[in-house]
Amino acid sequence: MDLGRFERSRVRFWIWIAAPLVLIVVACLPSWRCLERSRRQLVQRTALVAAMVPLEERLGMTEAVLKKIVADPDRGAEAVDQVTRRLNHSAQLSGFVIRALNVEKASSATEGFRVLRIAVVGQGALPALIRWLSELQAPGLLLRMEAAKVTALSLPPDDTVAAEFTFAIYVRSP
Amino acid sequence: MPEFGINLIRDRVIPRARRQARYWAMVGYLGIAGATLAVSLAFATSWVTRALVVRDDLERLEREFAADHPDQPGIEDHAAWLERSVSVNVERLKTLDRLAADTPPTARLIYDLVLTLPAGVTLRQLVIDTSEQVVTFELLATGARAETEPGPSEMLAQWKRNTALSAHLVRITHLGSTRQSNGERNDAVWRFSGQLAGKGP
Repeated sequence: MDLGRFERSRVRFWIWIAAPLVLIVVACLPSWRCLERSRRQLVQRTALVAAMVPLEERLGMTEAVLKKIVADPDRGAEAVDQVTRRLNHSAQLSGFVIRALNVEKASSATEGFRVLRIAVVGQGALPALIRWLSELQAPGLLLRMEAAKVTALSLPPDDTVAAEFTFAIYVRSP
Repeated sequence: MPEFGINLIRDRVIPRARRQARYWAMVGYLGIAGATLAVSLAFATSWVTRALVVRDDLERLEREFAADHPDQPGIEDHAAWLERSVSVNVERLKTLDRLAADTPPTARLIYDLVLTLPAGVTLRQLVIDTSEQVVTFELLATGARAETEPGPSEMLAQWKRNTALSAHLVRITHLGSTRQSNGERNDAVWRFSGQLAGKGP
């Protein structure tokens, strides 16, 4: 019963009082925080992994649609070839004659796309021209008509027309 | 009165009963604190063990992800990249949708316009300017047709009633007429202008 063990000095007395409390805090706080942090990370990662599945599906879907209607950045020339073939093939099917087809060398950019322009000059009967334009609307790379000029070449009843069109195709910017 | 600053109770001895009570109170406190510390250590150990288990789960998740996506840097980076890519693609698709919607249905427009023309009137020229969303066209009325009904104003009224044509072409106005002699025949050229439907002011 030596009270002096605790009360030899005021500092020693308070050390005896505070030491167990400090030890409790030192033991519990870091381990609890470590557990909470790990749990939070696990919950966050699990949620991210779960959210990734619909995102990956959506990305795949948008990529597939984009691939069908615009060319990839490194496939501009291939897209021009494809569209040129489509223009010529549709013209053959509809009886419209393409006299000239020029791909403009300079391209412009618009909202994430590089725009390549193709100027087409052709000639044929008016119904053939209408058929050709309808054929061009078939699914494939987006072919947007930017300008058109159709002129009758002779007096009725001859319905032969000369037509000039400027088409734009879109290539994804990298 | 002068002050001397002398501690007069310095040598006073604390009574035994009081010393005993304070001693046992201290021992009691230390006992309770020790027990609490032991329980706390048990909890801390359990938390650390659980944290290690959670860490293992986390590592397993990352290992599985790395196996499924060998070329991706990590779960968070890949999720951010996915979100960015999807939003870029959605914006691109919206742009393309707008561009496709702005493309004039040229075949349909010419077809519907030609269908409305009476006998003796033919399409002479048609110009579409998508930047201005304007269509200008000329009709050729041959010979006697140039003098008889329907003239430009009757044709304007007829086009207004024609739902197929007005689906593509609106606000058609008569720009003017000219006479043109073709051999022995006097023809008339009627010039019109219209706005592509759904575009312009």
